[in-house]
Amino acid sequence: MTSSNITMNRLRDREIDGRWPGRDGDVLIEVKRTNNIRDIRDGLLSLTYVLAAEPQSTTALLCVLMPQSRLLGSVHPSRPLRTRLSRLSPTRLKLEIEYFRSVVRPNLAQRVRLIGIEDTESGIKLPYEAEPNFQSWLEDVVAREATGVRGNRQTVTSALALSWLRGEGPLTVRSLQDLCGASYPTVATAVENLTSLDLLEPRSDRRLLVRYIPLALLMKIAEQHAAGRKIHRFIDPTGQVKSPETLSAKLFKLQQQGLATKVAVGGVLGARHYFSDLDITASPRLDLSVYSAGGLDFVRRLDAALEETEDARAKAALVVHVTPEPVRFIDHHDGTWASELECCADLLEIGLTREAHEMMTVLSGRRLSKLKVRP
Amino acid sequence: MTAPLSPKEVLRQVAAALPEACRQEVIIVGSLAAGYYFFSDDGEKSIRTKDVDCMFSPHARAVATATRVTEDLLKAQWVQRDGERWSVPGKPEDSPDRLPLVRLKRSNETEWSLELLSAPDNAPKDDMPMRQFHRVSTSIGDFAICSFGFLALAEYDPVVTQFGVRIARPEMMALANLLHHERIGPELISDTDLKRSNKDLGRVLALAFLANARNVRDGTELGEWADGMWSALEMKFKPQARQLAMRAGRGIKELLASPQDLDQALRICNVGLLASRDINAQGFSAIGRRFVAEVIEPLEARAQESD
Repeated sequence: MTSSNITMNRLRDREIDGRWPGRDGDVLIEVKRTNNIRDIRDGLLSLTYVLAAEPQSTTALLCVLMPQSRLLGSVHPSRPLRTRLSRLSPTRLKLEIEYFRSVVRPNLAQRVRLIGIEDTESGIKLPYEAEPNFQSWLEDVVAREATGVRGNRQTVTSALALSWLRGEGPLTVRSLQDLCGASYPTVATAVENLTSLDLLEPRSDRRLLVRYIPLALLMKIAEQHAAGRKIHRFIDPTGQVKSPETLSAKLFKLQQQGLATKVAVGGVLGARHYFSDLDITASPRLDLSVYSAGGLDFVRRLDAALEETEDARAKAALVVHVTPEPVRFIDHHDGTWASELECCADLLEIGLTREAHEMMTVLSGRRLSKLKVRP
Repeated sequence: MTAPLSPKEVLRQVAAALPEACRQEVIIVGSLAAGYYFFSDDGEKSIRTKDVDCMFSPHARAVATATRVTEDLLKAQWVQRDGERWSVPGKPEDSPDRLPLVRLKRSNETEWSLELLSAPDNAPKDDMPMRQFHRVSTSIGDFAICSFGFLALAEYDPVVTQFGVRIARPEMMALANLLHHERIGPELISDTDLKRSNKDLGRVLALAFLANARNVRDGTELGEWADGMWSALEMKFKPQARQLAMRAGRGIKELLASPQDLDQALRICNVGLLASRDINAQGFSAIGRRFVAEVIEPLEARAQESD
């Protein structure tokens, strides 16, 4: 591939929301959160433009995110939630794609699909069963587009740090873009920063491998990661605060019913999941990380007595962090756990600095012992 | 204000006053039952009540048992609690609703008195009054005992106490109050400007708070209420169980939506079951939200599943 081809590919990729390297050909993704049929036509046309310059094996998928939430109540009495219903029916979408195929060249039109995705309280539901990796990747892309939050340099750096901590293989710039919802320049800057510290190893196939991340840098990344999240604090005005263990068990139960699936337990409980020797006997509160645009309706289901407060000094029973971290970093072993970096960031926020440091020392030590690298 | 009383001590005295053969037919309801259930292991905790509600169950034997108990207590120098007008026994020709109720106290007792009640004989129907009066004929004249439609729930799995008498389960008293007050009604408690429904619905929240306090770290007890309530409705009011479960939450939701009524309910609770608990309006409202989410909604869900 020539450098001008690469440049063209990058330019075209900026016009779409994602590209999945499928076995039988790439899949281009465009996401529209809309109730307006004109937006859908615009999305179909944009995809077709990009598709026209692609190999015949490439297909395209327009995902229409339709708000369908029916909310029972509010986590804060002064902020009643509204019921929202989409005006677009599946039949309307079917008619639209049929019309599109009748007016566009068949060799392009037949390679474009249109799906409606319900955005409900329980999260985003794909209308079909895809291979698990594609499904999880697509959910990430859709969730990111739904929130309108783009990954920044910190998101990319955190993702690289996590991929190292977990011993994952090398990544391409494009996969980092997709993973973090970040632009090419954003990923390039984050990569350059780590390369300048001699922590990244470029491979001949243009993939990048994180060689090593020193403990001090890991802690700094965790601090900056903490600063990049939005925080919601909840108090229990009854004085009968439910334990973090009780609330997290309730969350896992809700998740078995398909609710709040992109919410993960962090804080002390999460840290203990990764590091059982954590020197804290009781968790002062429950920390949860929210990885999607699903909102905070799930809090009412955890405990309807909880009330959100703006007072940062209030003794919170529950703290919810809306994280830009990719949903792929949720750990699903024996529960739903926020990433190591989320948990470390929570400990730092609680003021458990020594414990956060101890946890990262052990986790990075485990990684180093596998690599047989001496810091 | 009524002086604080130890629920365990009052229950001991009540049981001792009743003929031994009658004790197993007694179910204590109301604040003494709640106080004993929640505070009997804690000598520090007290209740502020002057009425001990003593229900005879089953309904078929209630009048006979109440007659025997009344005779025995009168012989033991107990006297009618109320003023002169309602202390004079009635005549056989008086209709039961015109007769004085059996409300007795020891002649030297100022702290508490006993009100005798009957378990209801069947589920309340739309054309049947919630409250029914049953004649109790004694050697000194006629009295009446009352039965309330939904108090049949107190007969569901009552707790046997160390003194032989039984006490109603808190969730059953809560459910009876919920069903009794589908709306915030205008009826006032006599000699006050306090609404009866605010008192009874507020008590539901007080019971929920105390149930949660028993196991505050995991709150399992409150989480089990809906199942128990549904079983009781099925057992006691089988044909109407679904309809009753679906409407049980209406009054409490109305209370939660009315700051003035909620405030009044809290004031009543704060001189009763929640005395010294330091609950403010924000906390009381939160207790209500938790109760709706953890008890009312699961109860409604159980009812819907029963279709």
